Amino acid sequence: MDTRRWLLLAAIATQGCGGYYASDAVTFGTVVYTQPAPNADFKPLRTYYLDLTMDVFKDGAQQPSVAVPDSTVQVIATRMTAYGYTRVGAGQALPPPNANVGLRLTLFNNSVTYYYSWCSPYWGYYGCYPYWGYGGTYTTGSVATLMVDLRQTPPPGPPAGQRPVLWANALYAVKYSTTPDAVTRLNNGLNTAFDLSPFLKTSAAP
Amino acid sequence: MNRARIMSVLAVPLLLGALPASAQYSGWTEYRPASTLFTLGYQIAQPIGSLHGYIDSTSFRGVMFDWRSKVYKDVTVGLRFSWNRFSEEFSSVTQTTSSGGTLQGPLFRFMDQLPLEAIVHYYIGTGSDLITPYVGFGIGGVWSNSYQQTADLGTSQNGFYFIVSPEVGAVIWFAKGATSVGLNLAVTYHFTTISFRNVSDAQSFAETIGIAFAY
Repeated sequence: MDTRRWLLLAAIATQGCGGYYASDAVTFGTVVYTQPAPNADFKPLRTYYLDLTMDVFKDGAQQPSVAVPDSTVQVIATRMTAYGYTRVGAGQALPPPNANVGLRLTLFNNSVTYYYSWCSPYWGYYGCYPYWGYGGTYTTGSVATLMVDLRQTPPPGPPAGQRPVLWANALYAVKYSTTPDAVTRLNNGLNTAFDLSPFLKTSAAP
Repeated sequence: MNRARIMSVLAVPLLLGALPASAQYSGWTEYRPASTLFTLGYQIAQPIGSLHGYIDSTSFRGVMFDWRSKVYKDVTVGLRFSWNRFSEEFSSVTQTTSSGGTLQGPLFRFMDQLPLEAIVHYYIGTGSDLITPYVGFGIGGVWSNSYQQTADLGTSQNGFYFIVSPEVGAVIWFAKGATSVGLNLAVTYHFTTISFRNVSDAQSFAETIGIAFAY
């Protein structure tokens, strides 16, 4: 009986002492963010091109690109097919003319808090993180994916040369370390992003 | 016999003369009811209403302190300060952003509530020296600060609001005298106009266990 009483008091004390700060599970947890462009219409889209290289930024400076993991390519291909898209230009460095949209991943390996605000060459033109998207911060290990509209050829040269972005998603802390499960976290985050993005469905979706 | 009678006659005025002298030092026998009461306590609180929808965990972080001064035989008025922190961590929550986006991830939330109230209490006579039940009412202002964090993205809101708080409780006296000490037990309902995010007019119940000093 005495033991139970002490256990109860210890439990209350433990509760009373905690709760002042978020745990590491929150601070270093994976957060999935997804948003369509305002008034974007995904229904008429049919084909997509997936860039097999991933942009890398460290503290705002662009680094050499890295390859998108094969399992990640598989996740994207499976989910895009389920939403009614057909992959075109697989294995090619540039999107074919019949690609409606292009997908490209960007990894942020920052050592400091950094706002999402960047522009990269997107297959001959520029793509920039959209103003309507959430430009949150994270210290390291975040992956953003942009879907850009390839149906119209913009005039060359920024800013007129920017590709319009139709969909933005950001996966916070999916690669915050070099542990082997980083790719698993990335793939799980992408699956969640697709789960949260039913607006991506085309009219060809089953 | 005569000698004994004479001694008795002499003793009576001596004893009678001694009474006023003893009365000069009999302060400890005066009846002086306690007129001031302090209570200090630990509080556990349960959010209800929309606050429960935001944070449904019981708060184990709370303290209160009040001062009460007797204005009538069974009535005190005074001031009360208390603090309660409600917090909860969620493994996964889906939220929409004002710009039309959707966020999903682990979430940490807390809400601090610090009221400062004018209080009035009525003490219910039970005829017992051991326990003093009471009902009370508080009214005043409350400062609130709330915070949400997912990953390293945090936002907070704070403001000063209105609060009313009816209360029932009792003091169980350990010792009574010029200074009395007892165990204070109370249940308080907090109605506030605290509003933030999805919370409107935050409400809670708080249970107090603490010490009461009266003198």
